Amino acid sequence: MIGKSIKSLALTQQVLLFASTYLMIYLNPVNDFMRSIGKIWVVVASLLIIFFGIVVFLYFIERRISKLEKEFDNEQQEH
Amino acid sequence: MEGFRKHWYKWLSVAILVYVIAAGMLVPLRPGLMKTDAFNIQAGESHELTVQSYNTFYSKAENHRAWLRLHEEFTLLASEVEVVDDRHIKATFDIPEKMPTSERVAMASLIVDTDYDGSMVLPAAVSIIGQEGLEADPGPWLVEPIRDLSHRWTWSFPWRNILEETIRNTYYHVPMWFGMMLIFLLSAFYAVKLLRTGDQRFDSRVYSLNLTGTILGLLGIFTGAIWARYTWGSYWSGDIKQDMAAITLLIFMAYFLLREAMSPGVKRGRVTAVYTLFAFLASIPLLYIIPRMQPSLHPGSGGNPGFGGDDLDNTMKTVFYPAIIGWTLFSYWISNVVYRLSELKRRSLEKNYS
Amino acid sequence: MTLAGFGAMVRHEFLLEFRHRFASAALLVYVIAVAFIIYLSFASPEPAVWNALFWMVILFSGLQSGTMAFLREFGDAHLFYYQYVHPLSLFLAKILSVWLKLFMLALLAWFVMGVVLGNPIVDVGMFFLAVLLGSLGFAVVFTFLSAVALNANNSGLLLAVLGFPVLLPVLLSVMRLSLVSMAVRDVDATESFLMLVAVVMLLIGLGLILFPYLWKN
Repeated sequence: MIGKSIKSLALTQQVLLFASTYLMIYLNPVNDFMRSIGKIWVVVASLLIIFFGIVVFLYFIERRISKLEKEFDNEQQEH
Repeated sequence: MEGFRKHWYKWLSVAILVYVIAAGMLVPLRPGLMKTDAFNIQAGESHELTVQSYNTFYSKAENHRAWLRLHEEFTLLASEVEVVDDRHIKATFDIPEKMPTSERVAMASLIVDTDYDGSMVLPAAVSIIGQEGLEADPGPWLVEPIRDLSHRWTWSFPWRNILEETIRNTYYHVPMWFGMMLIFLLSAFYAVKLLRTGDQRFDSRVYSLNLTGTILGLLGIFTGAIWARYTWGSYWSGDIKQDMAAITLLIFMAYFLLREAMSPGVKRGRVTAVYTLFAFLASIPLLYIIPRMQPSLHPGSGGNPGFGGDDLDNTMKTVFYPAIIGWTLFSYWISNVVYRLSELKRRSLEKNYS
Repeated sequence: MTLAGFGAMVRHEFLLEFRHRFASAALLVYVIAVAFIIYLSFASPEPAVWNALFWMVILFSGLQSGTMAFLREFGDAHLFYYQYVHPLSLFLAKILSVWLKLFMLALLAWFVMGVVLGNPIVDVGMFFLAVLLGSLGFAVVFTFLSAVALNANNSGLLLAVLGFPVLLPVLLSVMRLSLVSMAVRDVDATESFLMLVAVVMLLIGLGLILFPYLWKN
């Protein structure tokens, strides 16, 4: 008898656990912008990150080139 | 013609990347099941399940069938399937009173098959709760096996439940890591050449490749973090691969610190090349052995959906392999620009000192 | 290839150690003090926490001994080494001295932490092996990187930055093995042991191949 009630208690727990996870995920879905249209905006964000990473890199390179140009000009003036 | 022979890999990388971005973003996902409106079904009752799906065209199909499946072998055909609209159907299941096995609660997956979209699976769709005190009877669950599934081939990427459209990140996030690894490998190769020949041009090579590799790694970390936020739940999820990637970046950031802390010259080239080699080779167990010894949340490992194994299917390979080649060639181009710049700087320093 | 001057270098190392015995004594006091601080803040930690704290203590003593390996002698001594000693015998002698020192510090830390915090180790022999191999791995990494950092300014801080990421493979595998020796995690002991041996061998091999390039002027 006790064994059976423990078993059914464990069962209830199992059901409750599953139900609560289910409720969390399915019944209160997080419907924000990033998750809309099958989370496609996450991919868009990734592509934008890569694009802006390349832009920042270009900026960095350009600054190094300006520095070299300045050094070059200073040398020309000295001669 | 001369220009083409010198710049062929740049044109190639751009062409490949245009293809990768266009195909990777435009090819649709295969139809798939998103969710049902119920989570518990009592055995012995008739239940109407509303199924929401993605990219399906139910109204274009004529023949709709749905099954519940337990433990791969027990199946139950829906007595009625009603089309609500293109993305929704209602399937009615008459669940037998007796469960097929001795367990009282069983998770069933849902399988829907139409003659337009083909067959789709939703794993762990509902849990079926049996009544107490009844014996198991697999009989009614073996009457209607799943057969004659329709199949229609289209150029499309597989549907995976949590991944959804982010499966496309396989072409933008994953190649960052492959590219980083190849670039660092090349850098180690040039570090060996520097140590063997003492040619200072190789120091600029090592520097430029390390810089490019680090940029790729950073982009990989950032794209991975934003992806993890919407699939695993948080930006940093304590995943072993995430941690190892961060450590690799720390190693190469230490390289730049060491380089900054030394004055330019032959000695700096040699010492930083030695450190590059030592750190790169010492991190091989970190990057290739330890992550394989521990479970990871990453798709493709430990039964997770997505990359690798069955999940990198042939359609995805037609975009994924070019993506690796394209991004690697493109980053090699970037590293060449940095190389020429740091060579210019080194030569001007050399001229000033002599 | 002969390791010219290896014996002399080892003797020199131990003389040097004796001359700087106060530095080593400071490390001893550091280990005891840290163990006591851990005791005051944790009382009785879980085996896994004990393990992590133990290796952190060894990590920082290793950093300190590594800093001492090359950075305590200045220009003249190095010039002398360049001229008379084969780079590998210099490297091996330094590793040997750092290893011995770290190993003794680790045993001391084990003893002190065992007294004040309790001893969670079940398989003493395996933990001893883990300490022996782990301190060797630490010694190789810190000695090698100490020679790298020697060339830059602010080398003490740089050593920490260079060292910690490279040290991680050793640290992870040695912590795994010592967790096995505490019987807390069900991991294959042989696999963990072989992993640690492989990592340490890799580091020694890399050190032996690369050190001569570093030690050239």
